[in-house]
Amino acid sequence: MGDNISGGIPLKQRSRLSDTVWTAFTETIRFIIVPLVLVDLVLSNYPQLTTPFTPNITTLIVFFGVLIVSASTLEVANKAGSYKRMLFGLSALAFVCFWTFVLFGGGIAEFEYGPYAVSFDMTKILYIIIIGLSLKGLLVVSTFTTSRGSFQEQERQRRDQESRARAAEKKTRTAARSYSIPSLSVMSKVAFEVTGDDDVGYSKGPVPDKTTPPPSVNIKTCPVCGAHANPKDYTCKACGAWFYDDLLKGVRRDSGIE
Amino acid sequence: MAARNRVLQFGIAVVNIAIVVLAFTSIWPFPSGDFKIDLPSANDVTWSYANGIVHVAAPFSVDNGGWYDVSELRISYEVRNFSLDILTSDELEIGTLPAGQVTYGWLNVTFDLARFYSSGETWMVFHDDQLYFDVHVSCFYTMKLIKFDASYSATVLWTALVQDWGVDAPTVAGPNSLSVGFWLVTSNLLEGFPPAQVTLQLWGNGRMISEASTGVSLGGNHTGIATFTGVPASYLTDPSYSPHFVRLRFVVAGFTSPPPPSQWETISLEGFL
Repeated sequence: MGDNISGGIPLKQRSRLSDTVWTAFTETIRFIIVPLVLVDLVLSNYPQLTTPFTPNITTLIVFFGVLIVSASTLEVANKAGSYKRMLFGLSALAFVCFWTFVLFGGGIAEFEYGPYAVSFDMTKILYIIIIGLSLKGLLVVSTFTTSRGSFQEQERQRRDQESRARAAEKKTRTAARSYSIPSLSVMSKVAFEVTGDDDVGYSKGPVPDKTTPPPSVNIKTCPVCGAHANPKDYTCKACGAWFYDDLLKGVRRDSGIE
Repeated sequence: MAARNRVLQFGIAVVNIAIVVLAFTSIWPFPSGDFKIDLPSANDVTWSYANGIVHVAAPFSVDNGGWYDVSELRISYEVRNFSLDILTSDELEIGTLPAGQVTYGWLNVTFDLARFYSSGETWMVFHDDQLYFDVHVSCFYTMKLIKFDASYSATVLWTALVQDWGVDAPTVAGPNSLSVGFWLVTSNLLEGFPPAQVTLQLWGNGRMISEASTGVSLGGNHTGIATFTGVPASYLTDPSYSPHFVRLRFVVAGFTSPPPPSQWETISLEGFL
């Protein structure tokens, strides 16, 4: 029943998964395998011994054993101080009481040997044993109350971390979304500055340090983004900037000025 | 807070250890044989008979080798015959038997055979029977936390008080006298009792010829001789006296044979002639 972590004693940082697996393993041995072996030994050596549960004792042990193992495992799987852990701990304890009651035949055992018939009524002793087992419920509750504060603190920290993480994620997503709004800036691959409304167009930004390779004869370079373009184009296909010189030349040529 | 849990854990552990010790010391004496009840077997039973009362005594012992006192120790019994009629039942209250002590006693079972006989249940006087003894022991142990019950059934053979009887061949005892031997087998319980009084009548051709009586000792196989006087010399040889027979009646320890309502038992002498 989660003995390794009851008592409110801070544990070393062990993996809860390994605790859970270990609890399931040990409880299976304690409450299913060992009792089944012992019951089989007793009944095979003393077939005259009967209790009210003898006909179905194997089924009952397995049934309550599985319940105990499940509850204990779930108890350990939850953090100390949580309602779930206390609930499963108390449930496991209740199942252990039922299991004990069944295993001891309800406190009544009969033994027939030849002309002798012996009957033991140990009901009161069994109830005392069950009361003793139930005392462990106090420990479960005490562990809950002891660990409740730290559990709530951990939960609060976790919630804070989660909310901070969510906020950061939201901020990132918002930034990403705002960055993706269509604008000319995302289309530019070189630094630029926006001129005033009366100076329509772009002023040339600072000259990059790198030396621009000499333009090819059949290729012209966009003054805004630096992309290569066909010499006959009036606009850059990459950034849409106008090739003003070529445009003016074309207008003059078409109008017969040149 | 951890200290509080430690104290609680320690307290629970102490209580549980105490409970385990209590349970162990309460239960262990029974399977280990420290607590032992010796009930009588059929061979241990001793019988006696007096004034129509059969007394059966059987020894028992209770050994309380455990750690706690035995309280309200009771031994009850019930005796039935082969027909499962209850002959007697009673309860013996022993009370408290302190730890480590042994008590010895006797189960004294009595049943009034004379009363049975007078009420018409005469079987056990003249026939063997089986007596079923059901002995039941109950007590509390460990401050009445454990109740212990033990039952024991034993079958004890009852041998009839009057087991067998008969007459021998008649012999001529004198000119007009005839003697007939009579033998009687009775239970050893009747040893020392006054002799049985046997009355015989000699009959021939449908009428009584003579009557005689004799005493026969009780307890085992004993014989007696009844001498008839005034018997015609030709009684044994003359067919006109046929059928030859004797009628008899005897009283053993207050029991009359044949039992009422019959008055006489008839034994033919034709086979002896």
